[in-house]
Amino acid sequence: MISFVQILGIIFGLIMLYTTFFHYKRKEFGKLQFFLWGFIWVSFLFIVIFLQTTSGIIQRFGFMRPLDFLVIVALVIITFLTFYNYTSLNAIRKKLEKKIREESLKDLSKR
Amino acid sequence: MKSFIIIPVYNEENTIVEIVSQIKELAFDKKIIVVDDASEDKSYGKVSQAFPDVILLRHKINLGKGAALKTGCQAALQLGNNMDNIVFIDADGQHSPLDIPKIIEKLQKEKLDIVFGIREINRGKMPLLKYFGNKFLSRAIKFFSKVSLDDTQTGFKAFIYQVYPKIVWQSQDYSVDTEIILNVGKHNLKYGQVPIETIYKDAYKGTVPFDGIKIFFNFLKQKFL
Repeated sequence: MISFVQILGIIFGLIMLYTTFFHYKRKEFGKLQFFLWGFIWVSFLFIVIFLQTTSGIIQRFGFMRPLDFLVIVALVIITFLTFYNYTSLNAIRKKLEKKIREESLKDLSKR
Repeated sequence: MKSFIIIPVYNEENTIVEIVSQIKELAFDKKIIVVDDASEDKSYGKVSQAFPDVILLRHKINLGKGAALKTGCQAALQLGNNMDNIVFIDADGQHSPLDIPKIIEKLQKEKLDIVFGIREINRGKMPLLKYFGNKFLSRAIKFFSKVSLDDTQTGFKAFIYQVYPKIVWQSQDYSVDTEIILNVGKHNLKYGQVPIETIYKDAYKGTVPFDGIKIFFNFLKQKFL
């Protein structure tokens, strides 16, 4: 019997899988990115549908329910992605600032 | 004493011409650098038309006050033969350019590295939120940086040319003022403050409460990360 939370998880996983495919088709994702994200979402769907497959890990780490395990894993991934986005954004911001400054100072030597 | 006067500008078409005119009239050796931070109004056009002798730089994308000041300083470094100091003044008409000689005099006479123009922080003159925000930031900054200033968010300051590599900042936005203070504390620079005249024209210009929160978190980031 599939629970309501599992249904929500399946809908979420399918939407994310479609979004990944959509970005790949628009050539915003390369093959590697597509397969990596595709693998993550297919694994997510597999775990949500077949929760019992994680029972070994759950017992080993002392989780109460399979969904608790899923939430913890999701949190770890979110934290990693937030940090990755933060560092990427900082790097882009610095590159942009440097480029705009170089552009604005281009004519200075003529003065 | 020769000075670079750097004015960061973002949408200040109503005040910038007046500010530059007043600075030009001041009787001391100076070069004025106006950095237009991608204004959407006629600031750039007005300055280029009225003052062909002023060094006018333009960012193609709005980056923020800190980035505009840094561009101005880079220009000063490139041009800076025989220059003694750099002065920052806001373009919104909040500061009186007539205070520039006062601030430079203090820098010179007391042989300081940097002098801050201090606005009068009282509830009668300053908008209420700015007043409380400034008080809070001043105390927090004093606690962490050991630099004691009555007004930490002032954009009006002057420093000797050689000190730039020590105070240079990473902030692109209004956090620049706080970061400079942190760097002053970090490098044990000699600093001073002079009271300046302040005119509050538009409560919605300059730093708004959200900027204050950002400045505080950026300050913690600069201090501890």
